[in-house]
Amino acid sequence: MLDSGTVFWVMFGSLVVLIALRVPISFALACSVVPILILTPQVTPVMLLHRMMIQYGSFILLAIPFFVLAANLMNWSGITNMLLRLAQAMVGHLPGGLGHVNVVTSMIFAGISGSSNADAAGEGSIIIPAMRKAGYDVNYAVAVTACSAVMGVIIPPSIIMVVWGGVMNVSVSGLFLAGIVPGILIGFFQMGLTYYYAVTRHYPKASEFSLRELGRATKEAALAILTPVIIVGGVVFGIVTPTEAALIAVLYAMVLGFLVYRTLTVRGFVQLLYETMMLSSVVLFCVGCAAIYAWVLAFYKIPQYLVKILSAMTSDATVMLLLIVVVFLIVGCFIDAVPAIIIFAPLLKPLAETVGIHPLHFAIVGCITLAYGLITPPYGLCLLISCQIAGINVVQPLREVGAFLAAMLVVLLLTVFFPMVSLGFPKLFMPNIF
Amino acid sequence: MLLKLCDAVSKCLYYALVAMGLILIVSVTLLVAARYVPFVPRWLWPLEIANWAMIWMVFIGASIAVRENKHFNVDLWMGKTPSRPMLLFLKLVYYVFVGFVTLTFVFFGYGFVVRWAMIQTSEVLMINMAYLYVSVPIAGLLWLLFLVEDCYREFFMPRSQTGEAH
Repeated sequence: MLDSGTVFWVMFGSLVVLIALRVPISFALACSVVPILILTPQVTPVMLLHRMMIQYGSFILLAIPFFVLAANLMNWSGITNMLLRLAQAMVGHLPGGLGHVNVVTSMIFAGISGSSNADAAGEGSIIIPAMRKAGYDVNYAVAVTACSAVMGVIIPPSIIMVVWGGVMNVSVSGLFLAGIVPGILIGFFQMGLTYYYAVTRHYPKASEFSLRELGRATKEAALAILTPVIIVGGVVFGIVTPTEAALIAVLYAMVLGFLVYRTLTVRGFVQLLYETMMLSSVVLFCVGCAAIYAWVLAFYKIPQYLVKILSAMTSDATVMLLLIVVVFLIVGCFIDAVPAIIIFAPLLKPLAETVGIHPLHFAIVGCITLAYGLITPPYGLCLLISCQIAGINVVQPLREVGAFLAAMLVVLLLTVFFPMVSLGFPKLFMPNIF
Repeated sequence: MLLKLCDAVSKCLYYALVAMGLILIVSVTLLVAARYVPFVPRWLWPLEIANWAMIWMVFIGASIAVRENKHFNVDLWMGKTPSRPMLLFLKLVYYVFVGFVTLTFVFFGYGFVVRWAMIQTSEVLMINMAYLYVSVPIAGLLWLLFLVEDCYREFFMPRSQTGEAH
């Protein structure tokens, strides 16, 4: 039997090298267990394949395709426009109106969709041109679109929370609840920053406030805004599991698209279903390969080995959590949130446990930090999508993105230092998981 | 010939993936309905069907993603095309390592089916587990096909045609 140190450096080293050489992450994960397999006759590939199948037996993972599908259906049915109109009626009269509209639309959309990229792509393609036309600086328009889209995976439902819950055995319902307050705080901080920009750069209002328009827009979007109520309400009160909530969201979106708004065609539905299923299988295949990787790590007691080395550094829970934040921020610059969770969360989990961080607190801080990775270059998908829509280089809006990121980091630090910010709701509604 | 075969296979996979999606929606709907609607019987089989459909979906989707280059990866070149020798090196690395996983899936997946799955039946529907686990070697074969296609497009196809094909 090999010792833990060697195994760790071989597996982790080969993974990093393969990923750097542009081998897809899931295949890199599968490849890097091979040297160990050759050196250890006790572990056979068939055992590992079986391990993968066991991982896929987890019912919670089914929530991933359903949440993506619900978001795609909603986008396709044109509810983004309704949400924009509603947001305009709510906050369009503030200075820098369209900036606020951008943030508020993302907040509402976040409650419907579990993916940030859908938000950046769907909303961005409408509002970035509109902001440009109204005289906003294009860098600012891109920054506010990309940064507000991050809320998509922090305000429930959230795909990355489902992945975290599925991989790490943490209550997904609890995570959803924990994401509500930090998510909304991020929205408010962004609106504060938008206000500051509006005053210093003299951005215009988007419209005058009118109660009648607000009523009309609310009525139009009412059926769509019911979705977050169904999902979050159902999960919070324990009526449905996250997977069931995701399915109900899909059925509801189908009813809206086919029967109410009549914007969805069978052909369009088939295409959406195909795209959704492919994206989900890429995510799930990665989860399966990670199950193999994590199993081999556990077989060699690597997590315990890491704890032995790293726990000498600090035994303070907050300091440890801050270290974890730093690791995730760096990782998030290069890797998507889903693979980052799959690779790093199981490694860091025993560290968090030994210093006494609650698993849910660790999970929510991890999810928020990795969500920020969506706007940090070089690989920040929301930023890339927004820049592509505006037709500018990724480097251009970095100053504005930095300002937004700073505001968002304040929320993250609040979540780290005051666990009640995130854990208040779960404690209130699900006291049994504490 | 190879390209035509790949297109045909892709087309089949497209419909298979959509079918898996529909099966997932229907079976989970049945499960949820059984919990909340009194007259829907509380079958167990939709759970098993959903699980099977998900596993098949993952392997079919992962195969299409190999062809369409949709798997997650990290691009240290940030979207810029590396120099030609570097690109060739990266392609080679890609073929070697993805090909390696592919062959593992084919060979050990086959062993997995023959020695492990054939002698088992599923818990609810009593279907031979081979019908489920055969998805592993099949995924391996599909990856192999698409890797060969990619290699052919990259190195053996006349330059003039590559533009149209992509």
